[in-house]
Amino acid sequence: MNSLLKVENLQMHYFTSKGAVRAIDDLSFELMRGETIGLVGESGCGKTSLGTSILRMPTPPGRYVSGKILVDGVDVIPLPEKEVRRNIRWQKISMVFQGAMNCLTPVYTIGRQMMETLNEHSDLSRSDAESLIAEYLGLVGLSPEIVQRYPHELSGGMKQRAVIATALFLKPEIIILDEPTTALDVIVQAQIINLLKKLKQQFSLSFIFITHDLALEAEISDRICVMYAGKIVELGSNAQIYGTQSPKHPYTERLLAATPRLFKKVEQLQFIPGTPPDLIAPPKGCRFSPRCNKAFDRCFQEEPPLIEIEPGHMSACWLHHRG
Amino acid sequence: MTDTILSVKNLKKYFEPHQSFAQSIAGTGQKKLIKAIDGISFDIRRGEIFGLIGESGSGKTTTGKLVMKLLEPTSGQMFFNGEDVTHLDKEKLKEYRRKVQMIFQDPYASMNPRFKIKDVLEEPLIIHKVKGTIEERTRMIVKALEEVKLTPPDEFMGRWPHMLSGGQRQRVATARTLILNPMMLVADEPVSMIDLSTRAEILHMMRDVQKELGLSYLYITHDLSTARYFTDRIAVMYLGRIVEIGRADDIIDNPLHPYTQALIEAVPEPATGKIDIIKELPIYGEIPSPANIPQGCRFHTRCPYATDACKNEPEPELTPDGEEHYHACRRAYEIQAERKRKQAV
Repeated sequence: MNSLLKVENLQMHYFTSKGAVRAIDDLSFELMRGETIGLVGESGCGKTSLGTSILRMPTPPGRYVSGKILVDGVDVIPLPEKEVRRNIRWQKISMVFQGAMNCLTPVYTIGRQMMETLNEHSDLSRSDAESLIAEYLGLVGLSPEIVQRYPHELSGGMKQRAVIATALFLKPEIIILDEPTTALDVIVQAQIINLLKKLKQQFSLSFIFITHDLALEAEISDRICVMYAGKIVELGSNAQIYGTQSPKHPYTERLLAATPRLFKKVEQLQFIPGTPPDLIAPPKGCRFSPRCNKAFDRCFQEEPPLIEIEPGHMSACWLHHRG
Repeated sequence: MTDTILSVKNLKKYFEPHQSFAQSIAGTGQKKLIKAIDGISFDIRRGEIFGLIGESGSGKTTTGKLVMKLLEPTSGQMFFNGEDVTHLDKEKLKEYRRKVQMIFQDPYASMNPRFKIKDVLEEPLIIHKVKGTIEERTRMIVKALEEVKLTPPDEFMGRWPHMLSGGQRQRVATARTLILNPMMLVADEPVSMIDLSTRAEILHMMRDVQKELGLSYLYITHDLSTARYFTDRIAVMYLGRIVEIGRADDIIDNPLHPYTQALIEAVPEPATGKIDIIKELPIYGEIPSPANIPQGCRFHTRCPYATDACKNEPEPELTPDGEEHYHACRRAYEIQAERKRKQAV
């Protein structure tokens, strides 16, 4: 497996009138070809910010502060916008935005909205574009006649399929999926997950799958990257996070304990008191320490480094440094 | 007094489709009724948490609105605390709403952003003309905030909604319902917009309040996992009908209706070893429109076990299976045997 995307010490801050919000703070990871990496964490942990940063379109007032995003070995951050549009965005990396299916324009047909993407990013003739749209609609399990329909005539699942088809158009290698099933019912969610798995195999795609639902992440992600307050706190394979060994970082552990399980009847479901910190002035030491039930002196003083605790398994916790 | 607080009997709610003026004059418009609720019956007991489960379009929210009396039923009856509440005049309705309160899904939209928390909580007292001095009202507000564990109450009373997290807002929403001493709460997806990490916290709080005050809940959700954890009994809805009803554990561990089975199979579990598996779902397609309900058993178009009898014969009614467990599937036992055989292979 070779590396497709490499994020190195990325810092992306939102420069607001109250100060810099350190949404992505010194974060590194690598995405391999044909791999799905899952980003999990509570809202406000920087999952979506990381997604848009990789696409080189951080939401204003967000700006890159330092670090690199290497796509095929080339850092995309200093590239001119024109170049990114021509060669990177949608060509190499595309994204299914959170709630994208609800952002379809109600006054245009599905076909016209899909055509827009092709007009913007390719030089296909109209008839070629039309046949391409029909082909991709077929791939995601929709009938080609849907191009004449308006968004309100389709169900949530159908709209999400159309949005996924649009993300596939230019044969990207990486697709960032931001909460692609959050607004959908369980059955439709399972159908979409099945579809994504099939597409991944067919086109040997790599996914970055963003969700807050650890149970869903277990279904699809080869590796899981747990984020907290703009940083990676744990990164491990599916088996390392969900297997019998159980996760190593207290945050992951508690997130998992807070996930309700259908077949495991528990008397008291756990929860994590408090909320993620204000990223304008993050707490001193470990950012999770104010909410952590295992925190000790050192946690409040120094920030723990992300270290490899077993092959391929990283975690940032001072507990690993204690005997 | 019985131990049933709410009894719903063969309730129906049909909506007329939208017609343009020209269509209504010419009589050319489609006259197909949208059968959102098509004859449901259930009882909620005193001190019970009753869960209503289903996909979007199954009619669970409409049921909640009917129970809240935000909608008038087309036919059927509803009894609350032994009294017929199917149709109420304005006075009686206000009295009813005082006893039956609602917690909404979106804690960001259900509160006036220009009201301080104190005003949010005082509003129901004003609307329902609860008499009392300022001190008495303040005491009621403090008590409600303490019940939902927003302490110290004095501090929270002066805050604005935007200063609170989603979880805290949902606590305020609960406090707002409690201030009128209701007997029953209708909670429509109260935790679906709240972060997973704090979802359990809100459910705990709601359950503590329920136990302490002896309330009954109608908990409407699409999330089976929280329903199992939170409710005593569950009714599974499909296209405006209840297809299975029973104790939460029985429904999850021993589902008899193929729709319930499909819902359960679709729920993701946080366990490893599933990345390469394409889940085989025992269900086809998506839920049909309630304007066009299939003939026979309304689930047959999506059911992998459907036979000609399911298509042609009249719809199966709820039939009992042991204690408190009812299902509406004519092939329930054959399907169960078939599934067991499959699992054994």
